[in-house]
Amino acid sequence: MEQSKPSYEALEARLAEAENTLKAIRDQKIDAFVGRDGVYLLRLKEMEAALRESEARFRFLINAIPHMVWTANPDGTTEYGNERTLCYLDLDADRFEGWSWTGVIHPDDRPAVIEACRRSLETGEGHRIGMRIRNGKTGEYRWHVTHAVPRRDEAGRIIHWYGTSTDIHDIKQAELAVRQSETRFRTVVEHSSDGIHQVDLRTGRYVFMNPAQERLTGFKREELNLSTEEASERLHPDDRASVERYLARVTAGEEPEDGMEYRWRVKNGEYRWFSDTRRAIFDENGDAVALVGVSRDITDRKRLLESLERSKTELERKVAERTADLESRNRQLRELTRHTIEAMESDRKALSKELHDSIGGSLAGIKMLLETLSLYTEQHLPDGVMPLERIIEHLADTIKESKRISYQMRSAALEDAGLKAAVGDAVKKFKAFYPAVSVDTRVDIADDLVSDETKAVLYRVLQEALNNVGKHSKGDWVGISLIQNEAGILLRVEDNGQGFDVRQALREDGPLQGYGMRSMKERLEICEGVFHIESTPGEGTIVSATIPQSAPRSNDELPDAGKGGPLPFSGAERENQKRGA
Amino acid sequence: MKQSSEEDSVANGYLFQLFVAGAEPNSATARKNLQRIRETHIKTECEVEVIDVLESYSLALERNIYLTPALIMVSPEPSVTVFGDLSDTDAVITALRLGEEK
Repeated sequence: MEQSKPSYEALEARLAEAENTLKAIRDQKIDAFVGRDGVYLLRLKEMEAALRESEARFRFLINAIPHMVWTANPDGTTEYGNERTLCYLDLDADRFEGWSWTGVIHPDDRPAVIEACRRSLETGEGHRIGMRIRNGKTGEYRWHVTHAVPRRDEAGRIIHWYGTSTDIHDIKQAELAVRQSETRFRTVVEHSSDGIHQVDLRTGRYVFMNPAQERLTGFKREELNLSTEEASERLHPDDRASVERYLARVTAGEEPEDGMEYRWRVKNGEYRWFSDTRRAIFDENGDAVALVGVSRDITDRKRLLESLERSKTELERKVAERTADLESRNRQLRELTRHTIEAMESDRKALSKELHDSIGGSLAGIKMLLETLSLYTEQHLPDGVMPLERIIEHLADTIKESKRISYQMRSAALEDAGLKAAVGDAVKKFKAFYPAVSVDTRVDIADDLVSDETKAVLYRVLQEALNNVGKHSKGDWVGISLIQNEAGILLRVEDNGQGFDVRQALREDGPLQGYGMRSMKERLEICEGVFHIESTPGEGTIVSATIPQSAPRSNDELPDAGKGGPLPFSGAERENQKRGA
Repeated sequence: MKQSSEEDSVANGYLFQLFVAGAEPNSATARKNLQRIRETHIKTECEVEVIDVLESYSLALERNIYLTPALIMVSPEPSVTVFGDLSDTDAVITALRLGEEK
């Protein structure tokens, strides 16, 4: 050690020593520091490596996090930005330093952001603010929330500003979507005409009701402490069991497709019909904690249904009444028709008698007188005057014709001896008038099983058919068969004449033309029989008539027809019917 | 004690005190380097006292040694202190004025 006066050389040596020391330190050739309280191993290499590692790790972290991280100087000028920052803003590190950032903030947000920064610089307090930042590459503005905090030294001076900007665009959009969806949902719930409510099963109280539910129940939201017990009390006793069953299913986790219908006493005391759908909400343990429900007031519908049901019953009753009425009228009509036929038969008989007894008699008398007279007036007849013999011939024809008509009109045989005999009679008369036509007859029926009316109809059909054969067919053979089988009584008249156009004939055959085909057809239809005519020009004609024997016009049913007893009529009654008609 | 050994053994020779921190890398290097310098540059009598501060650091404090490794050339006067692992041979030789010996 030097004593007192440090020589120049000594000083220089000291300086060199200090320089060496610094160099040793800088070159990390130092192992330990000796202090008053102990020795500290420095291990600088390790420390530096650790420091480097730590910084690398920190840097990696800073660059890896998906947020913008940046630092700024105390005056607010930018200093450092992590990779994400540079990438988003499309800047390199050098350009970022001291870069003017206000241009990338959305114009709408810019004033507020500048103001927040200004205030932070003024007061030294951090800030947190949402802003849209423009992406340097795409030009898209995305929502970020920026958080800035100051770092101070020991004296409390700000040495740095540290900031992060987090992209919340997607969250913001999702939030917006959720808000919109919730608004939509809320609108639906608020304006729904169906009641929507929620019951907390743990407290047994209503926790939510929409306005419709208030309207339906008469209870207000303010009365939400309406307990489920009270609600249950208000159930119609008859519906309680079914409602409990439904709710048990729902709380067990079922989702029944059908709702439940029940009557519930609303606030004003009236029972209304409701149709509800309920679903349970479960907690994480799977326990039902709440019930949400949709209620619809179906009272009007129910009433409508009931009234519809009543109308339907009423309608059915009326239809039944009408049907019965109609049937009765039908029966009466048939009865009336039958009476008319009877009356017609009666008229015919009377007319026939008149024709035969009176006109026939007179004509015969006139003929006789004329014959006598002819004996005296044989000569002196002027030209152009018909000789008496010719007049007598005409008269004879007239008498013959009147007899034919009379026979035709009368069915004396039918009345007196039954259908079998009447057929024989008709054939006999036909032969008398048309002797050139040969007739084959086959009759196989039991008379007593056939009603008088059926007999009359069949007889008239036969008469008309034979008349047509005689008058129009120009054939020389006619076959008649009258038999009985399962279908009823079947009459068939066929000839080998010239035939005719059936359709044409049916069209022209008016009701005023006597006993034409239409007349035959109508008569049969009254008896619920079937009339059929088949004609082939040049070959002949087949007329057939079938009358079911078990036709409803049995004697058992007749009393239903009306007050007047049906057949047989007395002569006086027939006379009345005739005059009345 | 030092004083006596200094004066007794070395009259006109070299006396070094090497302060090391156990077997830390720089300390070990310093030992090797000192040995090498001693072999190549010091022909006269030379004594080296190695002091491990991890065992005792009071002497280091006494000598104002606050960093290791540190080499004090106690004699010849004036004494010189060199910090570091002594790997910069030229600098060490200069500091220890050994060049003049050559």
